[in-house]
Amino acid sequence: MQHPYPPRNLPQPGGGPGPIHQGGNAPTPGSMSGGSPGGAGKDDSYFTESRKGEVNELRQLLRTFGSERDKQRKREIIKKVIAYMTLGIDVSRLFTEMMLAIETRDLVIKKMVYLFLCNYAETHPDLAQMCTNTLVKDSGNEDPMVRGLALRALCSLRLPQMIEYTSEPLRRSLQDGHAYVRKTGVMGILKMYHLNKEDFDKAAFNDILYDMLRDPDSSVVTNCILVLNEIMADSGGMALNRAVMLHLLNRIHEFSEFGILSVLDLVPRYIPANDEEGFQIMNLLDPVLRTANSGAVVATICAFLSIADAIGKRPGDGRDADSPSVDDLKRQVCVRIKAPLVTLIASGSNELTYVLLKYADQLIDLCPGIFDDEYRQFYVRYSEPTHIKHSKVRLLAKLANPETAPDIVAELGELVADIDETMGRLAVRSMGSIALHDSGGQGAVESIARRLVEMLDLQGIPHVSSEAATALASLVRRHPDIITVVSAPLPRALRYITEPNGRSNVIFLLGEYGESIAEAPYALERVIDSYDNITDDGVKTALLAATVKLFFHRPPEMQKMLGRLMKKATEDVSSQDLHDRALFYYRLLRSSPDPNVAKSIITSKSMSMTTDQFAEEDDSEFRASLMNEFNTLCTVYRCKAENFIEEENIVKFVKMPKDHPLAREGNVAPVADPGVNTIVDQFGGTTIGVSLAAPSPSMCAPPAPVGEVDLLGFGDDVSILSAPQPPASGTNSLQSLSLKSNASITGDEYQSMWRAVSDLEAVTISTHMRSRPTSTDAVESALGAFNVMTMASGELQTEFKFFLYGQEEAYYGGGYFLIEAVVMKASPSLNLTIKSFGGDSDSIKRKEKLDQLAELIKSALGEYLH
Amino acid sequence: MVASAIFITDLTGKPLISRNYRGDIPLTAAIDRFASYLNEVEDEMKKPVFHVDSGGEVLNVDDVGCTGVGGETFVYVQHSNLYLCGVTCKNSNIALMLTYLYQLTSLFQDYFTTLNEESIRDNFVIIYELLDETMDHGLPQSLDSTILRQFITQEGNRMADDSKSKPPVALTNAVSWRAEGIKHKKNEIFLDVVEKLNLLVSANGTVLHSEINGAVKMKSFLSGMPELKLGLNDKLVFEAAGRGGSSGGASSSRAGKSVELEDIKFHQCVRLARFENDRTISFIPPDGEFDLMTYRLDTHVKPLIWVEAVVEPHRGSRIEYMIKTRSQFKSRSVANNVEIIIPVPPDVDSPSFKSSVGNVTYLPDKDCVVWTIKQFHGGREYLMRAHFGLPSISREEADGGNINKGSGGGSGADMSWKKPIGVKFEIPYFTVSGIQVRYLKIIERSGYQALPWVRYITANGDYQLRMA
Repeated sequence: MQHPYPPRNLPQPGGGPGPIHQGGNAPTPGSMSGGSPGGAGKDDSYFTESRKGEVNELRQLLRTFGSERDKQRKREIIKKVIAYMTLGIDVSRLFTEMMLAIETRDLVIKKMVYLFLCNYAETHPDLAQMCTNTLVKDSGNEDPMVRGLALRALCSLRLPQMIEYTSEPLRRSLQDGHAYVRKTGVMGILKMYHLNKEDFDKAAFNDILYDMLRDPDSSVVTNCILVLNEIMADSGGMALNRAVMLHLLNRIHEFSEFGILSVLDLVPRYIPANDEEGFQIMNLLDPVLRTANSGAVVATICAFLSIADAIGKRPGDGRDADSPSVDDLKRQVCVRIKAPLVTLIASGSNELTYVLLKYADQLIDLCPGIFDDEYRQFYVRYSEPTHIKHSKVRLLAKLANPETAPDIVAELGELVADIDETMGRLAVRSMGSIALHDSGGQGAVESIARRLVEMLDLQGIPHVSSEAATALASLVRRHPDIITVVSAPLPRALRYITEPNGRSNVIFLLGEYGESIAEAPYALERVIDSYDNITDDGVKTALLAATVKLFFHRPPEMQKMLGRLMKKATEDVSSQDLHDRALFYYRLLRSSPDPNVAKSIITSKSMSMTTDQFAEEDDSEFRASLMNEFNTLCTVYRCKAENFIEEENIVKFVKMPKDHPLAREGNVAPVADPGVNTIVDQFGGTTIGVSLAAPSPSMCAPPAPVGEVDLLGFGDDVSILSAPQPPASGTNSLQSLSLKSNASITGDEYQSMWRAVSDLEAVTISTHMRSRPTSTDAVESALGAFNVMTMASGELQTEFKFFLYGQEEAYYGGGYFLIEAVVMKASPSLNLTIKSFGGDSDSIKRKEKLDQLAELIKSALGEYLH
Repeated sequence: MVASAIFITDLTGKPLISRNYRGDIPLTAAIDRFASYLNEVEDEMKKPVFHVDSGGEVLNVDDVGCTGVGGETFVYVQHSNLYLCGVTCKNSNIALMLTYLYQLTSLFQDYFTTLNEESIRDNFVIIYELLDETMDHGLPQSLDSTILRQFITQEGNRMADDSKSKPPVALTNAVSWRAEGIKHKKNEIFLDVVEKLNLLVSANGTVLHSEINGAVKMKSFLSGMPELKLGLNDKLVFEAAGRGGSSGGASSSRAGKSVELEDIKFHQCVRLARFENDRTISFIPPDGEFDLMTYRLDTHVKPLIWVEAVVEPHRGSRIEYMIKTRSQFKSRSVANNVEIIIPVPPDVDSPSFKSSVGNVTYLPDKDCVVWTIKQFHGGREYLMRAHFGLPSISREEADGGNINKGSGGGSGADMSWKKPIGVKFEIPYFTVSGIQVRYLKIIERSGYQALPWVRYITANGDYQLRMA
């Protein structure tokens, strides 16, 4: 389509026209900052002040595009449009003109036009649709580069109505001869999935993707893994079995730096078949620790820890006595990974160091003491950014042991007077924490206490003396005998500590140990007399408690000031709590017939700590859960994912395969027969009618949330790692699923419930059977023993069919489970479709239960399965 | 890793270029938030990873999750006058995102030699191409500059009618870092062994921490697909040889000269499995410049250049420095361009210096004195005296006039002393660790003779001596 009128009066493109029009004034809507002139560069013309008039001018310019013969000039025109787009100016009005430019043989122009399309397609869906033809045509171009680019653009348009045009080129691309196109196509599948999850043909694409895991090109494989992980996120990520995992691990050296990561991220989710395999995987991955890619190193660390977790012996799991325990293994792993991690911390850039210090912190929690001998690495450098310094000071406290503590405490002492206030505070806290946890060995507590006492006297630095007071108060609670060191300077300290927190802690100590501090009453008296000047409720409360306590120890000195304080406090209406507390003390003192009763209540010293942890530090469960999400944002924020990531964006990865003995659930399932031929047929264009409810065993890769997937054709691929014999089956883990023994429902109820639950929510599982049952009765009675009831059953020519159900115990939720089981006669296999009705509203719990039920059924039918 | 978008801004947070990969976050709003983070959060509080909740509030690390779910996490790195930032709304792998951003920076540098605001503006089309090629749908793809260069060029390759542009096989090849058919007139390879010494010395003169960060850098100009084998005097090599070979005695006698490298990291071209087996470093090099390996040695090293400072402050009148420096390496080595940087209080005036060697300059803007010695031979000792006047009322006292405003006026004054002495130097033909290249074998099918060139250099890393 040609424009009817010829261009007039146009600035010559390509000559760097630099149009600085002062004409129309209003900046284009959508302009972020109006676009400011860049530096004095020669190409300035692209980024000069833009006005509405210029977009029009650009349009004029674009109309000359068709008639322009010079390639460079053509490029300049398009480049100008993209420059405006980069500035944030809305050039979407040029959509029609730009689309005309798409018919070009110049790759640079093509790329720019594609970029333009992707940027504005969402706002101009109708126009974008018009260029589909060109894109589809380009995706069949003879140049693989063009094919790839066109495909990428086509999939990136983010227009749901485009799906039908896209799927054909997409399918074609997956069989393309060039890896660049295939890899782009694989990513395209993911884009389609995000565009429309409902209509996405999961089953079909999953099969293709699983098949493509064997692609000779590693970048295609990488993308397959990444895509599968996202598509199958609902069911815990890409389904893994031994064959797949070993296949990928054996090829790991072929992968690019970033490709390795996709495989490494799978390892933590894989349950090794046995101990030996776990060790083999670790050996195989060990070289990765030598790569310079920090992401890969950390991912390897994560993989190691997870394997250690899987193959280590736990108390009471009945494994070999000589196999190492989980803790031992983890320690070994930590020792191995220490050097690489420290190197990364030492040589990495600041941003990375910050993140890695957080990782180190978490590893220390997991395995205390591993970094102790590297403590000098964590000394603060003057030139480091503040956040790294802070992280290091916090970490140093955790690295203290009897050998390192003197050095560390001395180093912390240097930092106390740092100009950065937070740093000073942290240094004092770290010191206190070393003493508190007794990690400094003999005498350390006292020497630290002496240092802290010195700091109390640091008049010039109020925040340090206050922190020191706080640390000392905790320390005395833990080690009451060091009060002898602490007591003397307290009255003095109270005079010049200004921060409320520090003051209340000093007052607390004076009240608690005032009997042995001669000046205590007078120190308190000064505070009481200036009661009206106290603004902080915490100080007031501490003062009240301390005064009352001390009253019982030294009544003659205290009586009068207590009276004064009581009066002030009961009249004080600034804090309800304080007011009530004062009244409480007052009534207690007045009403008790025997003053000794009140005394015994108030002064009994029951709070000396017996553990070396404060309650808030005892978070081992929380730490363990963080460990599951190691190497993610959770580690940096020290926060569980569900607390800050939106639910739809959370991926809960599931460890697989569940049937490995180390998962403590029965034997390894046999790997499916290679189904390559079927898949090739599917490529040929036959539509894949795999319904969600009944996947046939040879097509495998059930789309619904399942842990159990038979992957195609990997049986012959296991080469480096020997195939170990799985040991005898472990025990089942079915804790939270308990079925009623007397559940009963009618056929109609059954049907209505079945229909009420959509097929999407069902769990489907298919397993091979060693032998097929002789009659339906045998199956029914086997299941009946596990409280799985039969609604109806029957024998058909090719299969047995069962409609089963069960009901949960009422206190677990009382939900119903409906099961459709089909036993194929020809190649014996069991296909289960399980739905749940009622019960838990939490979808994750529901899924867990469904999975457990599936396991229960499998174990009930164990004699046929293995 | 899943990045929703990547964008580059200037130091004020104004966007220069951006690419929204997933469309699952509003990018313009996200960039605005990043800008407001840059401008509103104090420098000390800034962290390279931060979370903005769904209400647009920037959260402290400890507060993440307190305001409910949702929002985005920003990860950014700084390069000259730019910020490169990734945004994600998932629980992404942060180490990986940072690695990507770093590699993107070096990729841009490789393309434009300097990476700054101007070069971004000048090359926006290529940057778009690179952003598209290095990441697809928020997942990193290939970031190898030697490969990308073959189909994304400065000139822009054209779909000429005669020769079809093909994505290089190398993009998807087993040897992903090297293309086939490279030709050089002269087949040369340059090898630099560079060691940087990190040192931290306490005020009383004890070495708190010393460590060597080494790198073997290569510049390869070799044709074809050459096979290279590098032999180092790595201790582990000899141990392996001693165990395996019959003449254990011979190798152990040489063990004194070998070096144990603690943590070695290799460029991806090195066959790691081979190294694990017999400690042979064999590889097909990429063309051009790259770091073959890096290593770290955490050993007690004698500080190569020792500095002692005696400071005599006379409050309200003057301050005197006596600086003694000593080179503690063999006399046949020479340290070049030695700079000893001594911090001084901010309010000194009328400087005067006396030194036995070199130049001394006072840099008021950095509050320090720099003593430059062009050539510092091993085993020498030099002295420098500096004298400054002090105002009769120190800055803190002047400030302190308005009550107790300062968080410890005294401590502030003390802090100028807390700044450590820094030293810069370069010693050619010398490695602290004693690592040596024993051989570099180059084998290529065509059988050409290639010249390997080897250089050694030791320089300062983070070299700090605290002042008393």
